[in-house]
Amino acid sequence: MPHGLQATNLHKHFGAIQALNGLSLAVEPGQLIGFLGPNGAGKTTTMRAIVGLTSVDDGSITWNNTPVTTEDRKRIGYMPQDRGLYPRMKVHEHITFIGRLAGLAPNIADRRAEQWCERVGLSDRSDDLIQELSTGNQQRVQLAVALVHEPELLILDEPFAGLDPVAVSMLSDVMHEQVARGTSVIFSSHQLDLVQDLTEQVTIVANGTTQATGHVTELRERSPVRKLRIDWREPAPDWRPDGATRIETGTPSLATHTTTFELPADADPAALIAQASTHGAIASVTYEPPPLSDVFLGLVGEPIGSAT
Amino acid sequence: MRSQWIEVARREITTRGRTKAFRIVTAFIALAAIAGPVVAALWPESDGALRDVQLAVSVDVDNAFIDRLDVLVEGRLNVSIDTVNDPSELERVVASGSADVAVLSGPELFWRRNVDTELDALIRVALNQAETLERAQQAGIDEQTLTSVLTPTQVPERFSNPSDTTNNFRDAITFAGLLIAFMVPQVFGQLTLMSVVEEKSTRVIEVLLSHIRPSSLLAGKVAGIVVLALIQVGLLIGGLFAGLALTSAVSVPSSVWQFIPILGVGLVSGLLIYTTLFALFGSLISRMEDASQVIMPLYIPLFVGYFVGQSAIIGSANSLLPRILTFVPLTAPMLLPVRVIQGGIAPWEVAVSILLMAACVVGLLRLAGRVYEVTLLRTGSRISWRDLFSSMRAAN
Repeated sequence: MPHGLQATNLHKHFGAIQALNGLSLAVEPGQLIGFLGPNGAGKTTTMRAIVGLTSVDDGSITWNNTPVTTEDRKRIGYMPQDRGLYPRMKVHEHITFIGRLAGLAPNIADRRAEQWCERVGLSDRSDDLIQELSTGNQQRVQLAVALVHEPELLILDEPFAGLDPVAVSMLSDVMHEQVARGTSVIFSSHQLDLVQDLTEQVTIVANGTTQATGHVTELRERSPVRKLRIDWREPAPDWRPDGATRIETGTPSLATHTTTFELPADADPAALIAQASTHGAIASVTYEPPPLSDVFLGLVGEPIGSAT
Repeated sequence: MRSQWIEVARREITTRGRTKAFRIVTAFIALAAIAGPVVAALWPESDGALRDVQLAVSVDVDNAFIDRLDVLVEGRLNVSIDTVNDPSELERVVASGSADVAVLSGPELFWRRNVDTELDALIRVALNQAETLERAQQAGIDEQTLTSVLTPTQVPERFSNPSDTTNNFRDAITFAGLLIAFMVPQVFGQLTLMSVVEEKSTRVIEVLLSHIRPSSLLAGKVAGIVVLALIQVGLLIGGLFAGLALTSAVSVPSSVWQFIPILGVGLVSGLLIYTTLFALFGSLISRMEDASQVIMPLYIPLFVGYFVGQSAIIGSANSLLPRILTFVPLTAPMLLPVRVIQGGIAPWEVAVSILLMAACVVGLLRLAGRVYEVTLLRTGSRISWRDLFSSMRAAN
């Protein structure tokens, strides 16, 4: 039996709205999973159900093969989509408070708060009120609050939203550190390129149902199409392989020297390159499955973040 | 490991207790409580000092008048008398404000604008007595005989409810206790409501509820805010007694201390009941703008309890309405102390009233905990009662 978190066949309705309709999600210890789906797909409801904020109508949520208990939930760290902090509490004090609620002894909570202030780069602001911090720094506090009790399962709902590149890098590092120490991490994001860089494991959901789950590489490989990109030494010739669709890059400078085609997955790349070389001098060629964003689009039928 | 609700209570006390508004109000209460008796003691009339009055008297007026007036004003007024020769000078000193009244020959009284009724009465009695004495002497009656004839008969007095110091203090403490039991739950109830709305509007509630049960969160919040309220009330009462002790202006009867426990029971019960109710009602809204509408019903029992309590102090504390309201937990925090201090309440009534209030607190905390579970994560427009009940049914 697999260890870690297993959410199986979850159903939940809010009045006439079916928020979850058989959604399943699993994460093993030391695994990082990107939880992807358009708005309204059921990601936040699923995360809330795991941390006990909302009940499900049907389905099961287990931790190490037993139903999640109140005690188990003390080992979960949660960073909600709608960030929430007490504006008139001090940074260190706030992190300590949540640590104590999570069951840490006062001295340990105090020490951990100090460590996390340092880790997220807020040591010099630890005595400032939360309301005096910028939005980005408040996000850092939010992350520290989720991690102060060293959870075994970390759930981050849109953790990268609104972060600057430095904070994104810091958060990515922290997530990898947690995975390295054996923490299971589930995070949702609309930034699919970032997800692809961060993790190999994703679960894609839409309309309250799991559409696909697995390694990013596998999901990309499963795609029925491939992308062929040719950088020409001279302006691109007016050539298109049989059965291919030309994709406009949208960048004028690239358009003159670069052509990108979408081809069936069973196309022979070597033959295509040989054929292309008869139409002009080639500088470089890239032949690969479509990016995660295209896989996502193919599965849910709409770009991420477009649904309501 | 500390209980979670204690952590929540501690947070409420430390974060709200250090706000500028709370510190200023608390300091003001403490200073006002101490300063009240001190200022009252320093006030000229409050230490028993007599009112000064100036009298200008014509030389023609009989000296017996001045003698009689001296006797009559003793302990009532501090009268200075100037004897003046010139009648026009008499009128001038009154007109200029140098004297309050002039006694002209005749005799005739000359006032500047208004009559000082107390002084007027004393002067007239003194003039009358002087005139009577003169006539008696002319009739051959000596002063001693006259005095014995005119000495009024002593009429003894008795009171069914004498207004002694203890009773004055009893009434004062009942009024003060009633006012505190009426005001403090309102003020700190609103503070609780603001705290709940803040947690919903800032969405910190989602983080909290991932670690703590709604009922524990509520219990901690109520406990913390009740402690803050008791600190302020304690400072008010402590400051008041400190001020009284500093001035020694009023000696507090020792019997007054016996009322403190029942006042404490009423205050703590009222605070627990109303802060829980304000938290429950506050969980239905996400914006402070909606607060006044949603909490309006809570003021009805508060005002009923206060006004019936006042009537009970002035009239009969054991009439039907105060007796009934002693057993209604929303009004009992005000009525029970009033009836106990005023006297006449049966011990079983006290016990039943306290038990009902305790049961109400426990019931309300449980109810509010259940309401919290279905309301705290819902933001946006106000949650209607119908919506609340259907959500609670669905959650079961």
